[in-house]
Amino acid sequence: MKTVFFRWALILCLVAGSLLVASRLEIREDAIDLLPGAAVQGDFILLKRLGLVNRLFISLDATALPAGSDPFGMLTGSAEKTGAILADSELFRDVYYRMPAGYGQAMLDYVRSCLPALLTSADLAALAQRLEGKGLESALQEDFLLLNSPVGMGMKEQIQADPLGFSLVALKRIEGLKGELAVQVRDGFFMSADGLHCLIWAESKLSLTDSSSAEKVDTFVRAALAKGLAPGIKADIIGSLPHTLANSRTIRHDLDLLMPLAFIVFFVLFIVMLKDWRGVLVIAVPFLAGAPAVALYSLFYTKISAMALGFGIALVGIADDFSIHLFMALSKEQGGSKAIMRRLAGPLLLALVTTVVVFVVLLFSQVPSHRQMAFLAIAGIVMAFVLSWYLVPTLVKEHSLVKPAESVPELQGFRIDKFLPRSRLARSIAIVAWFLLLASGCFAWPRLTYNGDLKSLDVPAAEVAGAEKSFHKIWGRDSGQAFIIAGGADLATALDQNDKVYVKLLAGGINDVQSLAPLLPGPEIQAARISEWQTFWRERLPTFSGKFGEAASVAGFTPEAFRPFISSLAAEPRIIKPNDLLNGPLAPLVTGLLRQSDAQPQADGNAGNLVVTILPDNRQTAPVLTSLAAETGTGVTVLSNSRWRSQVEVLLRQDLAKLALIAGVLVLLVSGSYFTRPRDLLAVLAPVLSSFAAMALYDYFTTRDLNIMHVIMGIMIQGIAVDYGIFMVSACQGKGATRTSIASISLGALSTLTGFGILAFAKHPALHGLGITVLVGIGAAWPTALLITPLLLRKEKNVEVNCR
Amino acid sequence: MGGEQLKPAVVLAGVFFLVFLCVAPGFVSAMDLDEFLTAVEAKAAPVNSFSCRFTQERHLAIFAKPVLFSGLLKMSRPRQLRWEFLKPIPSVLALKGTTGLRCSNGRSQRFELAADPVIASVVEQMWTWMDGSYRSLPQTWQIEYLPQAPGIRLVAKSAGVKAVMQAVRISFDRTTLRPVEIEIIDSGGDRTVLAFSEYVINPLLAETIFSQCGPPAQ
Repeated sequence: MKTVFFRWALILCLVAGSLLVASRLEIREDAIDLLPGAAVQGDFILLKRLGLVNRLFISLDATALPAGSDPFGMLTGSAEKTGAILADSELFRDVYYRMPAGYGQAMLDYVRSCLPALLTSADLAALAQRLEGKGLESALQEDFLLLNSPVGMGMKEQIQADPLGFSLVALKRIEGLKGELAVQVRDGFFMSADGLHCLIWAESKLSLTDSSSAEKVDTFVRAALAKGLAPGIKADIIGSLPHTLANSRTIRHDLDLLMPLAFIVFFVLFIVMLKDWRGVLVIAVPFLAGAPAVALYSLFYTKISAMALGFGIALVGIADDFSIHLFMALSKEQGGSKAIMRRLAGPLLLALVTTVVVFVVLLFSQVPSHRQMAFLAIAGIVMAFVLSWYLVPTLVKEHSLVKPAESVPELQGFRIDKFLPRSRLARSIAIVAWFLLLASGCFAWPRLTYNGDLKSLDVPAAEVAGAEKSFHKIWGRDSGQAFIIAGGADLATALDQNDKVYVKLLAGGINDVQSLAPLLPGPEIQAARISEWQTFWRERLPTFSGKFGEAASVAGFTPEAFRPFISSLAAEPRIIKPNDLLNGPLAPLVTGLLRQSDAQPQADGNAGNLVVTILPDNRQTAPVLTSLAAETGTGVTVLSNSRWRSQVEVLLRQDLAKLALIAGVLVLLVSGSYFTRPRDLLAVLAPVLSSFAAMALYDYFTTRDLNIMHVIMGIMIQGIAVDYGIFMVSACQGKGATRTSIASISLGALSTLTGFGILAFAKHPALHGLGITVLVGIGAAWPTALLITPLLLRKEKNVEVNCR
Repeated sequence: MGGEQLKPAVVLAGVFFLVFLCVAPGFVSAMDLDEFLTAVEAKAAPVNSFSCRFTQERHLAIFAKPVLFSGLLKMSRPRQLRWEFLKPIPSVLALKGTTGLRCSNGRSQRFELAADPVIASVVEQMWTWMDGSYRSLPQTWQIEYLPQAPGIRLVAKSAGVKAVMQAVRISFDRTTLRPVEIEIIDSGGDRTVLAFSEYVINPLLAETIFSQCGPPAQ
């Protein structure tokens, strides 16, 4: 009794200490942990830094207002109130709901004052046509008419400063800055073409891919909308926020519903099969290993993905096979505890090694969360094995040990599998049926496609999809977007790179571009243009001023009318500084496309200065994007939604295919080192082969798509299924438990099916994929181990236990 | 809104407010200012469209001599306007919703108000006036009632408005009680005089005149 108390006290102290150590671990929900490869992760970091991941759009909708109401007034009032609440909050930065006061005039003033740095050679060549003859006369007559028209009544100073419309040339290119969304600026507000929608957008300071942060932001936004929206105005929230919420809420709903059910089934299962209340502790033992495993992890790392933590600990649950086998054998097998444990040691250790080997392979995955999960699973399973070995004997009633350790087991003639078909015909039919299953699996496997798109694991919420569809229709963002990010150690370098990108895009015939280049060129381009401007006017100004004066006089102006204009041509050109724009009323047009060095330098050597160009991601832009992406050492990164998704898909596919193959080979080698005869090995691997065949057939008859969940759980099932084969073959050959093997394997399989397989009923695609894989895989491996594995073994003459 | 951006908006808003006064009959000289504005707003409310002839005399320092234009003005709710010069240089400015059209010398140029923030701002102000929100006028203008003219005088109150326009004087016809002359005094001393005549209230106006250059007006 003392020993029992001591053992449990020791382990509980270990668990408590582990929890203390593990508590310093930072649990995070970051999508980056789910992405493969440094390059892809780097791209995601760039997107995040540019505010594109944590940006949310709020589309206000006045379509439900009754006739006779004032949609513009109600929309702008709602935008003003809601936007102001968001802007005052600590949760957001860069909240845009209207352009700052005076932005229109500010834009004109800016362009006019920076013309030498903004006009290209082509612009100057076009302007040269307006400097003499008909071009000059026509331009001045237009000015004369404009000054006399209603819209020109307040434009006297503007026309005096720029009578030939030089500014308009530069302004036209800057229109592209509003091109990301089809907004029309009315009274400074971002309105839709139909005038029935108004847009607000903001960047959350909290990560919107983190479920708890997303809930916090969502609560705040909903409260702001409740306060800010006029009656009858509706609002849709678009961005990563609704996706995160839909996923986390669906997962929570699934787990809230299914986990209690699983626990009840678990409890009943163990009580019924073990007929002993202490059976409940048998399944608790492996889970005690979770805390030391996490503590061990925390000695090496400071952060862990929430997904990896949850999965890793859940995976430890598969180690209940060890405690079940030990408990059943110690309770029901004949012989002393030491002898039983000695007999079990071989098969259990082999099962441990094959399971661990599978997860060791995952340590080499390119996906951080896979590695974290594998670490936890390995540490947890090894620890669970040790704890089972140490604690399970304390749970066994003394009287159930049938004979002293030295007694000879009474196994002679015992049929381990009472369910096996007895007749030769029945056995042949079973074998043929199994081979047919394998053949069907072989047929189905090559016909399955791997779907690496992480979106396939996104919960398909109808409300979110409907809002996005409506958003695309109203704001015209229906095609994917590509982002070209120019980085540099300083902003000047980044802007120079951005100019080069812009030139290449124009050369590639792509004009539908949202770029800072026309508004804020880098120092190199500015210097070149200013020099060209000065040369241009040095050659022309002496004759131009005379001709211009005459033409102005003919048009009806006084000789002094355009003195400001003529003076500006000879003035010292202004060099544009980024802060002039960032701190002015044009900031809303600029900030989304530029990030200064407020973050750590990137791995590629680029500091935090980023300038982004946004363009459609389609067939027309694909060649130029590919060409830009192929250039190295330029500090330019191309992020195209389609290219990125396909890159993630390819990397995941290669990664998982490679790892699954290596895991398979290792399992084969480890099993082969113990079961050296090919027929024995085939019998050991039969459950694995069945599980793969069944999974392939299931996918073939359903979606024909394999996703990341199918593959990861497939690897895990490999580790579990081979254990069934090991236990069964060992039992048949008298190496392990004999009397209790079927019950132990069955209880282990049923517990796995209950714990994981019940998730097949989950609504969330990822949980459903996980559950269905386990359900089908273990569902096939379990009967194979019981019915087929014994049939594949050769009948042994000198073995005490024989399954045939 | 900054003073700079107010420039064109203020001018146009003033002009169109005053033009709209033309179509508000029932001027009573014994009224005080408040009663007068109330009456104007009440009378303007049922006016859905109007047309009138006008002459415009611009005295700008940058013009070599005063410039005289004459033409037709047609307006219709919601958000439709045609300002057409007939002499000396025919030209048209037509606005319909968020789209504008300028026609002169046989050429036409359509423009989206959203693409030109200045004009968009001007037109936005203009529609505000046309919708009858006259009570917002005193916020930027001081209105003086001139019963003996009869007329009213608007004096710019805010610095932003003063930078563009100092004052506006409106003279009314004693018989018809409709304004016949509007004089706009710019901040630099420039002056514009608009004279209106031959008003037609709620005429049937073809939709096309607000979106097409032709046909030439009669």
